[in-house]
Amino acid sequence: MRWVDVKASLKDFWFEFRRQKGGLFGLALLFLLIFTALAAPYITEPDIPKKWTQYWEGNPVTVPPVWYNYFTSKKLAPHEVLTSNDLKITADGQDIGGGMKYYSFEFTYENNYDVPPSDIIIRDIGVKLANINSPAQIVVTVIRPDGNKIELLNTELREGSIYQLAKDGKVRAAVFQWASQFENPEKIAEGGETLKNTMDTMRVIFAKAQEGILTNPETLKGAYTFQVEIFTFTEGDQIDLSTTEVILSGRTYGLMGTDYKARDLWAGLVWGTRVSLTVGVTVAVLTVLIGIFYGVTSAYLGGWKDEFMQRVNEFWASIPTLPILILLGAAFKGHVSLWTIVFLMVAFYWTGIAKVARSMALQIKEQTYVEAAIALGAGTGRIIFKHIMPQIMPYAFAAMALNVPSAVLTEASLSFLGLGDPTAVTWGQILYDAQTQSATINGYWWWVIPPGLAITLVAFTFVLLGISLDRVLNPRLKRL
Amino acid sequence: MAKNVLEVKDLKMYYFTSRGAVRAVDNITFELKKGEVLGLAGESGCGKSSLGFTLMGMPTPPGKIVGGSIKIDGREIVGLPEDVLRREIRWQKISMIFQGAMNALNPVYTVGYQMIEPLIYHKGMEKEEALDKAMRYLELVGLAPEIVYRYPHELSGGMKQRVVIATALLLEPELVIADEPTTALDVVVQAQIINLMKKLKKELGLSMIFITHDLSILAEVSDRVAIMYAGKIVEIGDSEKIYYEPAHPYTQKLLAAIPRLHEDVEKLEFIPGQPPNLIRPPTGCRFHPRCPYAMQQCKEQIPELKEIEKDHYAACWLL
Amino acid sequence: MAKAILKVENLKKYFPIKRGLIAGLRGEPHRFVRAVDGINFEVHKQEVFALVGESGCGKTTTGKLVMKLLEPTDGKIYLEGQDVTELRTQEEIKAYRRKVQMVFQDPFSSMNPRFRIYDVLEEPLLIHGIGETKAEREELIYKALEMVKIVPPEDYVGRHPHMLSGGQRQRVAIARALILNPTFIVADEPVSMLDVSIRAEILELMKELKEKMGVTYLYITHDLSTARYFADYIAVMYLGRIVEMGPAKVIIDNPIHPYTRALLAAVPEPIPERRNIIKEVPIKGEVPNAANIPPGCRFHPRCLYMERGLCDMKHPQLVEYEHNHWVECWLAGKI
Repeated sequence: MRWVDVKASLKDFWFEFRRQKGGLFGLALLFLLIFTALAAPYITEPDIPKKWTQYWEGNPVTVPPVWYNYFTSKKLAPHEVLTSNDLKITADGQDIGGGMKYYSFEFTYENNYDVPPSDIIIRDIGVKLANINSPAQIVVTVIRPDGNKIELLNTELREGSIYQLAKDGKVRAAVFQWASQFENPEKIAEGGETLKNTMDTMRVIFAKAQEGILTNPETLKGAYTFQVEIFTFTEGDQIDLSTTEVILSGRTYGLMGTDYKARDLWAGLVWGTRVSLTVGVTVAVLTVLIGIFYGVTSAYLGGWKDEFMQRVNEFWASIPTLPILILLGAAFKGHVSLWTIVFLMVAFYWTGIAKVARSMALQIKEQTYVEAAIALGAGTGRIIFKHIMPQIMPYAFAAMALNVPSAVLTEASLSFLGLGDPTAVTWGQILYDAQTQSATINGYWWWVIPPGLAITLVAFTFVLLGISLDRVLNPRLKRL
Repeated sequence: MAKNVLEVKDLKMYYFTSRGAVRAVDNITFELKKGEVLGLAGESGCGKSSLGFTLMGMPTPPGKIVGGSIKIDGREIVGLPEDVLRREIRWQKISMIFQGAMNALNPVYTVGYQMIEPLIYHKGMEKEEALDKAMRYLELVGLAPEIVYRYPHELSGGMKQRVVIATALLLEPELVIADEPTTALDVVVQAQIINLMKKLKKELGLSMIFITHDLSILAEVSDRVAIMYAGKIVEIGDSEKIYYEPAHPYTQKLLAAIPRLHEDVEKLEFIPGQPPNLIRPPTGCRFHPRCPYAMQQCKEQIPELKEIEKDHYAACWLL
Repeated sequence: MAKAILKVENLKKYFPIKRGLIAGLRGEPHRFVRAVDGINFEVHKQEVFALVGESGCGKTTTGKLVMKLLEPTDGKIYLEGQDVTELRTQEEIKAYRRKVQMVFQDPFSSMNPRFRIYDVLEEPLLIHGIGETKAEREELIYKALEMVKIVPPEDYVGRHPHMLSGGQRQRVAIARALILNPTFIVADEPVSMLDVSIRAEILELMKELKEKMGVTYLYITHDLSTARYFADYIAVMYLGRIVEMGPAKVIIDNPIHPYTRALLAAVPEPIPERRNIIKEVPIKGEVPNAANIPPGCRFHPRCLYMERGLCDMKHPQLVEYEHNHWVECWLAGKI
């Protein structure tokens, strides 16, 4: 086909397609999806796929998105990461004699939330010890808005030390002891060791100093100043505060919350677009191409060859696809790559298209101009590629569009059942993890609903496109 | 003087397409008396089928009646709402035999079922009564009444066409429009159908507009003939006058192009060129680009239908 | 005596009727549609041979047999002395196709609607490897369009079939048939779908091209008036057999077979004075199903003159009624 012909056809096609409101909407959605897929490294971070299978340090685990606070009465503390620029460094290697140096920094946390951060992590303090047997010392104190001061931590500081105040046993002990003075002694006696071990350290740190602080802590709002002091004892010990990071593990995080590996689900959603589009479109295109080739050949060969090919088609079509895919997936569990899934889907889904393509080819074969071409001396190849295929291509495009949703859903289903590619960032994988971690029961709605909606969105986009394409291109509607 | 069963005045119907307005019916005026058969002839694309549909009040979309009047039995139908047209006019006052109608019979219903549908819907007849009437009309068109129980695929082309004609007559309309009713039929069957039309004309006093491009067929049934060109009537008059004393150059050329069975013709004449584009028709007389006698006036002014002799009108500056 | 370009001997084409499994198991005999049931004729160089008949008579099937679009059940076809039915290999058949071309009835559906006129005409050249460069082919295409009076060719080559009128399309179809310079053209109802006023033009053109290019035509039609005008020789077919054949004027002016007479009587004529007179067509009944051909003379159930005991029992033979005028009827000359 000449370029001018293609251009003219496109112009005519667009004239018709423009009138399909659903199609235009679908087209807009498609552009949105493509944009998201392509811009994924820029919207989020470029290395998401690599670190997807690992635990994301520094993020809170299974927390809802930040905008959840608009919908709840009990405001949740957001996630904050303070770097050394956010810290107020009050002493940086002050010499206090005897070879000892003193460092200190502080940060103030405005607690305006009903639920305080779930953890405070102090990490990445640059430590170089002259003698590893002579570590530095770190003291962490908090000054509460009500004036109370708690020494939370007083312990060794080594290279690579990370302090998680919520999980640290020493902090727990310190906080418990401090809080006990406010609590009803009977309750303390009642609770005993269990009370200490089940105490939510962070909540208590941020709780009103009153009775019930241990059993039913009420949050004390206000400014909390945390002071961190570091002492080095040996000459040559170096402390570099510039790399320090303080993470206030929020109760919410990001646009879509996090999952059990503290992965940013927004990033997961965005990157998942790539897989959905790629898998969906690849499967749809390959399925339709193979189906058309098979159907047209069968129609053209005719006779017993046609009959035979149709029986093969029907046999293949009657194989229950999803169960087989599940079986194959289970057989290769864990070793399945995304491309294997694509291959399997294409291998099973071409049959429907082949049937329709054959019907169409049979009709076209009866057209006078095909007879005329034979009378001119045209060979099989010319008839198929010059006369039959171009008539089928419009149907092919509509079919491709309509096949994308099922491909996307199948991949999601397989992943959901645990038979997908565990290393790939796909919405199905996210749902699989949600399911294995009992997200629904635990009420982690942000983990379950958005991926589902995303799958629906892709399906919806292609259904809109497909239906509109079909309306415009359907050969039954003879446009002249 | 027989009354006029159809009066058309200044009728205009245009198709509004993305490329412009196609002036398929452009200022048509004529009358049809009761019991008369008017033949409407012209080349493909001259607007004769469009005129047929327009007279039924159903111009094919994107066509719309833009002006003029159609009076059937004195009643104006232009401007009537669709439901009135459907309930009172179509099939009861005026009915149509479509081109290729025999292929429009629904293969999954019996002939009888399809025939009695309008009787039940329009006249509220009982099924028995309707079937009875259907059978009578089948006999009228020369078919065995048992055909009501047959399916279309069991009938031959000629038989199907007769069924279609019977259906068009069932509600006893004043006027029947037949659009190329014999085109798809073999010559023997065609002759039989034309004979049938002659018979119906005599027995029922049928008023009919017979549309075709074949002037030979037209001569067999028409009392008067109208020649259409590019959406306009260029000549209209008594059959004999048209066939033996054609006034308009186009009519003359059309007649000269008919191959004669029993005459030795050295060379058949033909009309050079093609019918014009109806979106942008030629200025002045629309035939002038193909007319061997075209004058300057023909290029500039549109000729009106003038009475040349009694009951014979032509639109041409030569006259 | 002019040489015969095409010779058809006892040509038969039967189409088997599919029967169900039960019928097969019961051992019922196969039934056939005898579309062409033993015909013989010759076409001479630069002659127009018309094959006339109503639908179902087998004329189109005959055309397709000559074109090798169908294979005969029996009989022989010779083109310029060569046995066409014996051609087996792809090359042989392709070479044959170059010599015999077809013009189809429907000017629209005989061309791929997605092709431009240029592509339509280039196709035969590409298939047979004529014209090695694009420029060569283009010249051939322009010449072909000029020959069928589509001028200027540049204006039309870029268009698609639906942008042309019926008459123009048919001319392109003729150009396509002629571009390979064939010996023989089978024209299957080439003007039936065109307006009467255009038929003359196309037939005139075909006549002219016959003189210019020396082609021979097999003209298939149901319209006797155009056959009279265009053809030199007419053969009338009914239910698969040729019932009468002879020079065109002889057949039209002095038809012998009752069927031919009925056909001629049925042709509409522009004589308006007769409009209220029922036309007498000496025939009765309907065309029977070609799967159930009547015994004896196959026309007998519809014949007004049929003789019981003769016409309904014995099949008449083709006899030479007068010079070059053949009839297959027991009552030839007696009615």
